[in-house]
Amino acid sequence: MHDNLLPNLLPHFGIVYLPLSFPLAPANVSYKGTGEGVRNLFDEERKECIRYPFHIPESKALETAFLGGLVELLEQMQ
Amino acid sequence: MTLVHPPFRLVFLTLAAFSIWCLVPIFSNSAISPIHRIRDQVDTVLNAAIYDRILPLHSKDPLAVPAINDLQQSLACYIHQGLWSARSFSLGSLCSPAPRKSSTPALTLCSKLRTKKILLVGPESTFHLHSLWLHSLSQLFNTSSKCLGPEFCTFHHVCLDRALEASLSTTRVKKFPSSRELLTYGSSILRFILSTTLYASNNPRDLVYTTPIIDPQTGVRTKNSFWMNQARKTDILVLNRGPVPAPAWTYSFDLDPLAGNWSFVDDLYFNASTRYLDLDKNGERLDLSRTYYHRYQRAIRIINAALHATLTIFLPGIMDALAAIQKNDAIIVWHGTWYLNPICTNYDSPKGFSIEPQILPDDSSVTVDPWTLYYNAQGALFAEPWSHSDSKGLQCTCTTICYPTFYRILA
Repeated sequence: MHDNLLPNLLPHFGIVYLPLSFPLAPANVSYKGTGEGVRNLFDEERKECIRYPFHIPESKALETAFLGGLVELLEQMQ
Repeated sequence: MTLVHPPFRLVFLTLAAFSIWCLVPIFSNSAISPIHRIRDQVDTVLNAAIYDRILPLHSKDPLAVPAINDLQQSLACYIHQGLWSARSFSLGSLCSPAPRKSSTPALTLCSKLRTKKILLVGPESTFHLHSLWLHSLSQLFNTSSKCLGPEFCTFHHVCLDRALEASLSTTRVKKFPSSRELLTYGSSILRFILSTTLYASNNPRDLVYTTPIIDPQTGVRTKNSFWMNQARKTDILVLNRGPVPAPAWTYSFDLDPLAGNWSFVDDLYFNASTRYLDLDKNGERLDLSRTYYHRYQRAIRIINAALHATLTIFLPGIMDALAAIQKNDAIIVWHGTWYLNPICTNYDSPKGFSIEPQILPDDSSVTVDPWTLYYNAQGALFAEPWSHSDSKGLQCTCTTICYPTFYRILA
């Protein structure tokens, strides 16, 4: 809902909306191993499910989306 | 200056008629999937809310609005068209303009933000982004990414290599670098201020900043620090207010030891003034099994409650903050939220934990608990049209074609 609402509202205040709702990782990225040895990567050093541990792929994806998005934003504003 | 000039009234009426024409097939086509039917109903309600809010607005810079819209289209494309390959994610490469192929965006930001002050204001999720940024820099410069925590974050002098950082911090007290020092070292300042609601008062002694506050609508504590002063001095301001948290009483397990107490979503749904969605609109009953239909109804009620929270708490709540920063000269960015991944939230859940049918379109095999659904629905659940487009680039739904174009014309 925020992704629909805010891009229409914020530009009138001079604010740019940077969405971070990147597609969820495929299940084989979030799990490691096979059979009985399968591990849910989120369980490692997990605080809760918003703050991913830094080393897991979802965290890298968030970094790409946020920092990469800022780079593109600054690039296009120049 | 009013946004609707007489010459635009005809345009407005034409576009409104076109919008209705666009929506007719959506509601008359019984073959449409439940997810699309819900999304269309959500879109209709949100668009009406946007329309009500934007018309009375006096844009900060009307000429800048179309340019910001174009920029936002690119950013949305990079994120929603982004691809997972093996274990890594990359921004949508088919978007226009094509994104830079940078494996170290934090390093690129150092060069783009040389001598600049960057301030992030928002809830814990924004603090996490600040921590992620620091972590990325610490890997590149072999420096510390230590922060005292969201409520005690002072500032970080970043984009400095380790030797230089060590030579500058010879005492326990970190001195805020002067503009001359930032220029000399080509470095930047990164800081974070915790504010869960973006409460924007110019008085640092305001009660909201100085006393613990429990939000009466949710029973959840809000944490707000004074941020307006720093916002005026910064070059880049990154803001966020997150989804409204599920009421504290949903975590009461007296009635249902597994699912919590979600009776408030039923109350909202059965009250005509707070019922925005209807799965059986126009009397069409979906072809679903009884159990599945019951769960789907429950999911609809949770999404209905999420929409209610967005319209009655989130949207009015941010308007004051937006008005307060309108005179700010900084580059202002609002970061969106990211999905709570059901693979994470389902992990180690009690056996028999209440689940809703998966509404996320990507993977229909994963179920989701009510709290995750309530959170995701407020953030990004219904902004999915980009993610299903083909390799030719963006594919807009009827609504995304109609409305942004409409507002661009008004602006």
